[in-house]
Amino acid sequence: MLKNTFYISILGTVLAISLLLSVLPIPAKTTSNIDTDSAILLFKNATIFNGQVFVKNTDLEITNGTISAIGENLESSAVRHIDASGKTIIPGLVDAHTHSFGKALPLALNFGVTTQIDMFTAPSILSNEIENRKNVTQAEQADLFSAGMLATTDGGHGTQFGLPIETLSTPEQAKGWVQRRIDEGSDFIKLVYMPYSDYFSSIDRATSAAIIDAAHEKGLIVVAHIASQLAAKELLEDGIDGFVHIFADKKISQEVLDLAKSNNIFVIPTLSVIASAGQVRLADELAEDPAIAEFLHAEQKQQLAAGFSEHNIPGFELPIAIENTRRLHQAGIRILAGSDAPNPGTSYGASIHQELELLAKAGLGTIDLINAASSNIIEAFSSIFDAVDNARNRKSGRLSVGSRADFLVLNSSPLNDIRATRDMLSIYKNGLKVKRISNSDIDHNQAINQPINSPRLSNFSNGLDTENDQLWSKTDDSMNNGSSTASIELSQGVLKVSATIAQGFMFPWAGAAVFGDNTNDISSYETLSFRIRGNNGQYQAMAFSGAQPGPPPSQIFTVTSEWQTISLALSSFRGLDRTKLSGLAIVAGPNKGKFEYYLDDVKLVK
Amino acid sequence: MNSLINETGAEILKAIRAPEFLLPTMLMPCAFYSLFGVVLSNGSSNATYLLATYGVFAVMGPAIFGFGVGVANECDRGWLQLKQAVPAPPYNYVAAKIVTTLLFAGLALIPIYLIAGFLGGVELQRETWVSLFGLHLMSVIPFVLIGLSLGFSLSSGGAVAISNIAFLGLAILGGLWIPVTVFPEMMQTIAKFTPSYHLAELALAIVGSGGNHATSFNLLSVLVISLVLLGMAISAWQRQR
Repeated sequence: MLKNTFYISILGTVLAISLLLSVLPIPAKTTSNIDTDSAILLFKNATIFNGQVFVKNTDLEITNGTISAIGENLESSAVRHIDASGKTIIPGLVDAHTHSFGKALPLALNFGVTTQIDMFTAPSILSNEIENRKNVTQAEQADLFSAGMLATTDGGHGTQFGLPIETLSTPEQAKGWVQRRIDEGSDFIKLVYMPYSDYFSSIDRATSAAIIDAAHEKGLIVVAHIASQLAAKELLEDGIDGFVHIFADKKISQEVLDLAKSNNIFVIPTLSVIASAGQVRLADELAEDPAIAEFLHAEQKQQLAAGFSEHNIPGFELPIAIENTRRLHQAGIRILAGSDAPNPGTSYGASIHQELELLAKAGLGTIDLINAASSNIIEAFSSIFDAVDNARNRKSGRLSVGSRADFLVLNSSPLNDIRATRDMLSIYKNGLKVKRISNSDIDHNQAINQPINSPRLSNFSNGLDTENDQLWSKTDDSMNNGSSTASIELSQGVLKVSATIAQGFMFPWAGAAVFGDNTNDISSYETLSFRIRGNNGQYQAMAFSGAQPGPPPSQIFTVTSEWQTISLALSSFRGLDRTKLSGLAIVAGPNKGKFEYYLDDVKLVK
Repeated sequence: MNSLINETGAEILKAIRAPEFLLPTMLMPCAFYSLFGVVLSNGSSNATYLLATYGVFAVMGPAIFGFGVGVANECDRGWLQLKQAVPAPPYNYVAAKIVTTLLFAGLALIPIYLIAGFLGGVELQRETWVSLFGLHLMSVIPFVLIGLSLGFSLSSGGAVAISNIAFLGLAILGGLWIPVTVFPEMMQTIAKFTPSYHLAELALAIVGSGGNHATSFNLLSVLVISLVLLGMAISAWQRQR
């Protein structure tokens, strides 16, 4: 009797519990990237940056993704309280200058950038992203606002990246061109005006003025890429709204300063990318900062490690750029933080933290800096944000009641050191906690590459294939819309290459390359070595690994009509992932002209 | 083993035959949860949050009252002295009570989970439901030890009063009804010495709403508190004998 009671009740309860646990509802859709809850959330005793000052002992209440109350000792019906004493809450960062490709938006959010202002991307992504930014219940990616296609001419800056571009060259084309951008979903207009460039052709002044007028007529903001003070002055006279880089060819003149002031423009200096283009390597320091390194995706590490080819591009003097930024700031002109990611030496999200550090060197204080990466950008582009504004979806770039709850909880105060923005306890997007993805989450998923079979990368006495199942072929910049050409043939046991370098791409090239179907691990080798002779001049070797936006890492060497052996350290291919080599190229360029050269005995040396 | 099964069977039978004792302790959390977690709540996130904390609350009742008051009653009536005379291992008495308490704690959790899932709109991954249930069931342990200490040390009248204070005190200080952060600093400090506070934090961590402390800190705290309570229970038992 007692035994039966025991067994029946135990068995019955276990069965009932098992049944219960197997029928309880599970979420229909897995929201892997966000916390499960949202409705009302209260942060207690935080230090809150309100756009002007840091207010201590303040509570912040979030309701349905919007900031619903801010104040001391708030009365709140929230059941979820988060003790934020000792923490500082600042608005989610805005990056005012990016080019969004691939995983740009989730990667940016992973570093606290909740909104990206894009200065040129494929117009095909716009309609999708316009829908995505209306979604106020996601915490998986930054919101995108974009210029879409940029205004440039044939052979102008912007045409070198391989995206099809509707170029223009006369003022009469401006109206139709602007209308087509509006139809594609551009939020504003970006034009490239570089009439004094040695490298690029440019739209002329009349055309740029016509674009500015046509866009203004439609209520659109117009921003410009310029590279010189003279170009800046002309655009200011024609009514430009903002510059997306600071020019660094000359110290800013009082005349340009006065014009900028009276036109009430904004400037996005992008000091990070100017440093990188001017061969000042700051990105390594950023990549090594533990607060950043933990969350860097492999692709981002490559972007930061990459550098612009070591051609001396004039007009990228970091000290001048900083000085010009300082003078603009002192004159009261709005300075906005933008990284220009993913150009070499910059990466999505991470680089905005370095941009703030550089802007601090230009004399911006902490309050100016945070506003430069939040509310000032929203204000500068207010016509866009006013247009998409609605009750559930108001962006102000500030922690204010009624604003969308995009914000960062910092472990320490940025008041004394702006680098505190890197040390985030948590990131909130639309009032939802972002699940930050550290690189240990990502990298262990990736396949390990096989070490390369043989260090010999050529066997020209037998043919164009190698012992590693790779094949030699011609390569040129036509993949980047350049107009250089090349041809190769086997001649007396060596490879003969004929190349013509023509203008069309910023860093033109043409020559021979070796690629295989698989990537190889060459990390046990130190040097690339080969024999070469040909027309006198500068040549370059390029190395390819992974999916890398922008030009590949390269090294320059000199060739003469005598055979010589060239040895290049693999570590000098900046940004090359030596565990994933996909190919190598040995090419003529970047100087224009016709080249003929002979190549043999390409190999890796330990 | 045989005698343990018989003893447990007897315990269960006793509880079924005298439902006026266990039924209220099982139904009260369920009623509270329906009211605050579902009826007065605005959104499923509150229902999820409160499921985590009320689950801990639900198992406290059977554990503290079942042991505190039950053991004290049986001491008073001389039942324990009689037990020492029967040819059965002395720990059977405690073991049978623990199994019974686990059983009724499990039964007390069922309606709360049903309400959460089918009325409160709580949706969790399958493994989250299972781990949450497992944690709630295991939460019985520290409260059983509290109940034992009270039962062995107090008369039946005193045990009723003190059990009530312990029950309500642990529920409030543990933040099972309202979050601890609304309390004055001093109460928040005391909270960190209660098992209910740490168990609630563990349950919240399981449903993804944790965050005030590392899970390992909560686990360690529960372990240390349980060991201290075990020491107290053993010494109370020995004084009793």
